[in-house]
Amino acid sequence: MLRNYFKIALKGLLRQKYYTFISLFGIIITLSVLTVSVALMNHATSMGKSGSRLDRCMIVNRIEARFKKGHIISYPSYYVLDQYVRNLKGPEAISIFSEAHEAVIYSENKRIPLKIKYTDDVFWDIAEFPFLEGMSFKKEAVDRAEMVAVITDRAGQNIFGTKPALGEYLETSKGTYRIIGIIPFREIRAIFLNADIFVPLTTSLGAMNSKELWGDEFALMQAADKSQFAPIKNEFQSHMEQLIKDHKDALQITSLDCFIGTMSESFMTEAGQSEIVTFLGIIGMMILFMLLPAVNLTTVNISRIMERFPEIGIRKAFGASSSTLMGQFIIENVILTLIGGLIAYILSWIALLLINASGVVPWGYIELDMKVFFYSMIVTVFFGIFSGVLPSYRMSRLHPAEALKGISR
Amino acid sequence: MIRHIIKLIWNRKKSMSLLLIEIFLSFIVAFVVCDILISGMLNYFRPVGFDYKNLWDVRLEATKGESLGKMGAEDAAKYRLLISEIKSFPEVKEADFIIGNIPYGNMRFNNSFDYNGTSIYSGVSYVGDDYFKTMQMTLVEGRWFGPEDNAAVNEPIVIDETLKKRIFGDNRAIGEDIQDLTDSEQNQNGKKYNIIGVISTFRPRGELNEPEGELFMRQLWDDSSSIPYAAMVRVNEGTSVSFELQLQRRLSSLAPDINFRITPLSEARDFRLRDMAIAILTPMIIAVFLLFNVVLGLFGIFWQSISRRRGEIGLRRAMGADSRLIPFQIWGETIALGTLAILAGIPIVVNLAVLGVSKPIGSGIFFLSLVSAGGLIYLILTVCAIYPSLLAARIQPAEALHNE
Repeated sequence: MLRNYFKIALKGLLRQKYYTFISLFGIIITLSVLTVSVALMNHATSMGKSGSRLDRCMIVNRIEARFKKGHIISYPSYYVLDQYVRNLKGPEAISIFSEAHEAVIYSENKRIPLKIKYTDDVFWDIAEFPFLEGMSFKKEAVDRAEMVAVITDRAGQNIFGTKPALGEYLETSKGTYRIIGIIPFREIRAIFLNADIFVPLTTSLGAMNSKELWGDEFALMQAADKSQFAPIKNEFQSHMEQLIKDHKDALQITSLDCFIGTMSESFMTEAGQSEIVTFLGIIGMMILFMLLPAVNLTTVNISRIMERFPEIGIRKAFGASSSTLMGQFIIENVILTLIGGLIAYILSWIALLLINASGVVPWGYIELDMKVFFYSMIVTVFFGIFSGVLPSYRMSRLHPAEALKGISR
Repeated sequence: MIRHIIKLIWNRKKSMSLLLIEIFLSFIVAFVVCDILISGMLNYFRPVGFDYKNLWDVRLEATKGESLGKMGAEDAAKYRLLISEIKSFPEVKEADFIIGNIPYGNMRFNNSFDYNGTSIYSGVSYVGDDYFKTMQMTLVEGRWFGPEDNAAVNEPIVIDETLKKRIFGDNRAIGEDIQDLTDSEQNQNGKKYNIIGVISTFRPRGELNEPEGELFMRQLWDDSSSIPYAAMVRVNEGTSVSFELQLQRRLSSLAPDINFRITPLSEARDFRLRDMAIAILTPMIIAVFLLFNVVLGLFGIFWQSISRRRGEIGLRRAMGADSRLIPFQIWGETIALGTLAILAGIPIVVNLAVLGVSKPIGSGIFFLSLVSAGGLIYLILTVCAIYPSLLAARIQPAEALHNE
């Protein structure tokens, strides 16, 4: 029976080429945009592949303080993270590292703007970046403030071209670093981990000595598993209360809010931080975006059915029930949307290749994984059913005589 | 004629309702597209209030001192040495420090002030006397900061035209005082600032941003100033990368505890414009695809509805309707349908403006977007209706009635 429906569906689709084309076109662009957006969102809100150590990490990346006079939102400083976060008991491992700073490398009268990140040794344990050549710097190198650097393969190509970069020296305004390791840039997934050059935190002049609360640093905390997040957050809060107590007199802090959470939580608070209206606007646009092609598909489907009145009339006259016809039409529609979904998936794959090649997303490599495919398929089937229900309901209620005559209001 | 057309639509209201929703949604999409596009274009061609060419942003990343504290004598001497060193190069025309809204930078500095009980929200930058010449700004009224301000009782400030219009309208701004809001909340006689000049609209965030209002406060870069964030440096035409390196090395040797990051503003501008262009173009491309999809759909529907209405049109022709008038009738029907959808869409669009998603209702941009979105919908409907209505005109009455 299902095979029969499939055959009828394909025949019908091929006969009404124009409507098939419109329907497919709408399905394909909607799904492509959705798939690409989901892939981008997925990329922006996850730190690492699921199951990796990064996947069970929380970050501390924002400190917000109110004073008797004024209000400051900033990244936390090394001082805060070192004194009040590093001594947390809950996490298995804690890494403190700086934001990526612009660092200009001058090479043969050419300026190469790159990003430099100051990290500790734990960073490499948590991030688990695969090394193409060489290795990361260890605890002793960080303690002794050795001038060594790990760079990405892309940065190596930008500076040295085809020459081997390992063992070469980097001239920055902060001094000369020796390259001891090379990692593939496309393995860096989270925006917080993104940089072209990684050097020991201790070689940063300002960050270590400042006693300010705001600075340029983040903390990454690896928990044993995700259920540990809540207790770590509680412990963290008690440390923050201590921080207020310690600085109340000198800085006149009235309240202090330090963000701790997963990458996606951070992403949400960042979005909430800007005007809520803009956020609502984006959601409104997304709904509109889904609704417009869906309604278009529905109207096109109605027209498509009307073209087939004689066929429906004959089948009804020979005793086909309304529900059979309705089921048939919905199956036909789902088949159409599945074909569209498949094409859309290939198109999104091409689109992401182009996005990756264009360097619009400056870090890492966006991939279409099975999760994204799964989501877009759910959307696809929903789309197919949604746009098929109304027309097929209308059609199934037709009187055979009327349908045969081909009149409808 | 119009009543007749509306009656025709009403009689087929069931099949028309979905079509109506579709055009209604398309109208909203078209409005958003027009709104973004028109305001983007208008902003792009409006002057930004400074000249980005041959201007360098020398960012200073210092070992930080006291929070919100003053520089102190030692730092003040160091920074004064730095700026005089920068100015001593023959390649440099003019230079000054800044704290606040660095052009094409990512940081945004705002503050609230008070003027006669109304609060004013504005971008704030702390700059020195040479900033005006360095940026090559234009004066509209009054004057820029100078040594004559040293003895001023109320601190002098300069505002830009956008802020002036917002506070004073067409009235005179020079000589008026505004108050620091955080101060005035605590005690009634808060610190007063005296407006001494108005410059043309200044948009540090660059070409694609709305004018937001800017306010400049005077800094002497002495013991009582805070530590500057950056130095803006105007260099001679055609100054090369090698000077950038030379400057970088010289400054680093003078102040090894500061990290200097030199970026030509033209480069920062390119980055910013590219980012903004992506943010504007992505929804544009998606919307164009959506509307194209609607065009294809509507065309199919109109085409099909004409073939279904052969009988009606044939009867019309048999009753003596002019074959040249048939396309007009079909077109009139679609336009009437579009008008209904647009009328339904207007409240939504007004709501968007009220919520602040699009430009405010009073502004010309709202009206322009509304008109062009309506125009776009009519154009789409006309394009979709032309071919089917021409087909309708060719229907022979005898043939159509015979088939009936």
